Amino acid sequence: MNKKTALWCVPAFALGVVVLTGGPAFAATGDASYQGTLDAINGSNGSGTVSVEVSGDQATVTQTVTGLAETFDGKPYPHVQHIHIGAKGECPTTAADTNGDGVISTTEGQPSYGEIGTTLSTSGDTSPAAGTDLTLAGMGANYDYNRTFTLDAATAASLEAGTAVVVVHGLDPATLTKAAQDAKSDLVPSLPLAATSPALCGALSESQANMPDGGVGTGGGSTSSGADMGLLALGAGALTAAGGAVVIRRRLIARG
Amino acid sequence: MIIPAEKRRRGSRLATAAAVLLFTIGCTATGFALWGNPPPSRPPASAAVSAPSQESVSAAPSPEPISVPPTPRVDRIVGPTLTASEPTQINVPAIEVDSVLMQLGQNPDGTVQTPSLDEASPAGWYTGSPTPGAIGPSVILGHVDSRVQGRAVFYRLGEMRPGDEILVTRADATVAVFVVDGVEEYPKDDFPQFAVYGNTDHAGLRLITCGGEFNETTRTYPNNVVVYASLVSSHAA
Ligand SMILES: [Cu+2]
Repeated sequence: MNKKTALWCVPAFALGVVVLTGGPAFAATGDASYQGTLDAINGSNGSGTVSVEVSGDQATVTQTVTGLAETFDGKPYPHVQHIHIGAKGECPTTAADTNGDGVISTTEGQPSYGEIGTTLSTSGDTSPAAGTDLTLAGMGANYDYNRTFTLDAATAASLEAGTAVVVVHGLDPATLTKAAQDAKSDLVPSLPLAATSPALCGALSESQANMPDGGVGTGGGSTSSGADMGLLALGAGALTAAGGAVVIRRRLIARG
Repeated sequence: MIIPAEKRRRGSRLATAAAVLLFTIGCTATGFALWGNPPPSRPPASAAVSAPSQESVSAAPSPEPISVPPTPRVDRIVGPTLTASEPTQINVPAIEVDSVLMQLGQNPDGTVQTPSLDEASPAGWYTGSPTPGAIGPSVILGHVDSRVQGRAVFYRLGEMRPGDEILVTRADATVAVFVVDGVEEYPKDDFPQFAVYGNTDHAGLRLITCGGEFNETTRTYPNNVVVYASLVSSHAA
């Protein structure tokens, strides 16, 4: 998801062309690559993507999250996040809510996704011990996370076995029933249940394709009066949506 | 409780992520609307659900519950798939494309290679993607135009519509038959990697070229056109 390289449809691109003579798809990298889409759980309405590139004992996690609860006690919401390991490698369904309070707590989800293997912390400790350290958590409604760290053996084994699951925690209490709002966290009794309950969940699978960066430079411009681009209603809608994101970006820069 | 001070270090990266996500959503929505496949039948994933009942079968009183090891999930596969075999030729009757296929890897900067613009270039299969017909997102790239040949191999790609056929001949002398699910256009600087190159539950194919209004000043196209297709059948070449 590296966006720093601008992409152009110019002849200069031809300089980089090498015709390869086949070989396995991952010949160039050699190491393992995993990915998952992060889907809303407990009605969080958030979403995201995550990829894990493993090279030797080093793992690079690249994650994008949007639409989560934005504030907690008037401050940016600390969303603790982990790679859970060693169970079915699945995200729980509402059937996992065994106490029937309307919230799948972190504990109730464990038969599906297992215990914490790695804490996706913003700095320092990545072990399970850092699992509920709010000072090391992703913050706010939308964030990018990109970190390289030493992968422990248990998480590495779970990735290989296809049982690793990324879980992002932290719900907006306002979306919960009154009883659930008043309930205490199953992990940290000093926190409310909302603070540590799962908000996003995505099972990690080995990547089928080696994801390149950016778009594709496939135009030389000799027919510049225009190729036959069939205009798509939904494509136009997506472009409008992108315009909205650009506006958001400008606002953020202005705020920064 | 410790709540960290507000940080604003993420700036524009954050909104770029938001833009990528918006495209992913738009694309996914189209994909679902256009996929005519019936809901997938569930393979024995439900085996995990029945596992606890084994406990109640053991009638002998047991002080400790029998530990049932968790069953790892089985990723379900929708539709037909073929074993891996490299592609040699692509034929798209709807837009009169008939091209041999070259092989394309990645440039040193991590972007995908494209065919040479100095000669009449064929389309190319991205070797970092599955071979056409295997499970996953197989990727074939072609130029929309070039200074040497004018209209290039994928000049008419934006005309493709759901239901159109794409035939890919493979080294094992089979022809993989794909049907188009959807066609999308994305700005290159907000290209949705997960929608295009991300894992799929079927044998998928993506045809990619440049799109949008050519910029005479920068001599670039701002967008990419992506055709999404799924394997429906195969036959001998
Ligand atoms: Cu967790």
